[in-house]
Amino acid sequence: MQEILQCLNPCSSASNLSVLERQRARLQRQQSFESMNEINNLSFDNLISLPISPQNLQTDQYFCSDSSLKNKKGGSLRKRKAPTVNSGEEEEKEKKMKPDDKPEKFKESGAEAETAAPPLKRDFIHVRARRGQATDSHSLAERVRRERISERMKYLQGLVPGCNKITGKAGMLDEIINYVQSLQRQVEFLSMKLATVNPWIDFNIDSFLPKEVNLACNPSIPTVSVSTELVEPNYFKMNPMHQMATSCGLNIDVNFSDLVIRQSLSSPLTVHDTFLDPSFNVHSSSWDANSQNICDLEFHDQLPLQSLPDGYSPYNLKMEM
Amino acid sequence: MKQNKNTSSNNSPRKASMQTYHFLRSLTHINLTRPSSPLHRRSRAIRRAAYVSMARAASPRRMWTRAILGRLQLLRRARLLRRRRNYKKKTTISTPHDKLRRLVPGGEEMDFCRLLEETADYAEFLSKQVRIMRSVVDFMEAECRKKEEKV
Repeated sequence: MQEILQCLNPCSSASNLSVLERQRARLQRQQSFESMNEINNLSFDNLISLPISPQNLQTDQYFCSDSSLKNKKGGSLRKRKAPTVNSGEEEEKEKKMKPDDKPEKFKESGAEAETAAPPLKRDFIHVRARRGQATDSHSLAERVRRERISERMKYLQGLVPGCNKITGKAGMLDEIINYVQSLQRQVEFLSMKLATVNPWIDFNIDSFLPKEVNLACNPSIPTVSVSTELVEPNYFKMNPMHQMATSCGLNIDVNFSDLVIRQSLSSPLTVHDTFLDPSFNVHSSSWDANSQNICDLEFHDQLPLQSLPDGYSPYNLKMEM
Repeated sequence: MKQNKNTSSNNSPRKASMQTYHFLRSLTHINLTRPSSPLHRRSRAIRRAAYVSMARAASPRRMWTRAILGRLQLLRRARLLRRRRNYKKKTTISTPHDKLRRLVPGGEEMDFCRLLEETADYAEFLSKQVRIMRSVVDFMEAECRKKEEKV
């Protein structure tokens, strides 16, 4: 980035020589930067810096890295306005190195400190006009918008399975629509299936304490309420859920789901009425009722339950701190 | 008694398990409160629970999460007050993006660029949810099969 600065400083005037030097330097930079996919390497060749917000950082990394791969059609040549440019306007729309320069092509103005390699989050968008293209703000904005859209299309192309061969916005859009529709249909179908499967399960609600936990009675409230008075017969009902979670094959933290389910259960998660066998009660009596400990264990120790050493069996877990 | 809230706030390392947790919890709740209601109602409740757990696990700054959770609140209030609301605005000018807008919750009032972003996020969480639900169904079916074998 230093060479950029060096190039720029003597180049505030629009002399031909300096422009050529700049262009040459930019060519070299371009070649070196194309190999890098670094978001922090904000060079002039990073055409678009999207406004970054924390949760978008990941996608933005993707987007910005893609934008650095964009190759200009006319090489590195930049459009020059016919009359030589003085003072206010610059030939190329560049990153604002000096605060007093005010290129009009920036989407939003942000006071930018002159730094060599600012990995800061910027809230304005740098645009570069390419050779042979209009430089008025509308078309620039349009081009920025189009490039953003194409970036996102590419990302979606990676997301939706089986659309590598499809090029073009319309086809991709159709694919995306089909994919989202199919996913939604699957959710609907699976929810119906779940609704049919569940009634086969007997609920043994009578065995629970009458003064039940104040379980958050709608699924949208994230607070988890626990009752330390849960009788032990309730605990063994963890096991099916635990098994379910383990068999899920997802990257589920088994401790977590197990723990949470235990905490939140005022009613059982009885999947299977054989689990209501009294034989299971014996095993479940070894469960520690101290849920606080379990919580700590959960969050400090990421071992899945199976890896616990001492003769762990799903029904005989002893949680110890 | 409220358990320590850090369970719900300590989300970031376990996005997938957060989704699982919410969904499983809602499932248990549904089974608890309405074990005998008609099938279609339960399935709709389960579907709603799926979307809500998806929205809970995702970032709250996304438009679609806010739309889903907002819709839930509105639905609940509407049910209480026995009023009906029409959420879907019919756009008079049809663009090729219209269909996508209708698919993604909250997609009506976004520009296309943002819509694509939201779609990507939404599709990601949707696929995760489908995987979760499928594994739950598989597990339950296996259990039922075991039960039948034992009997």
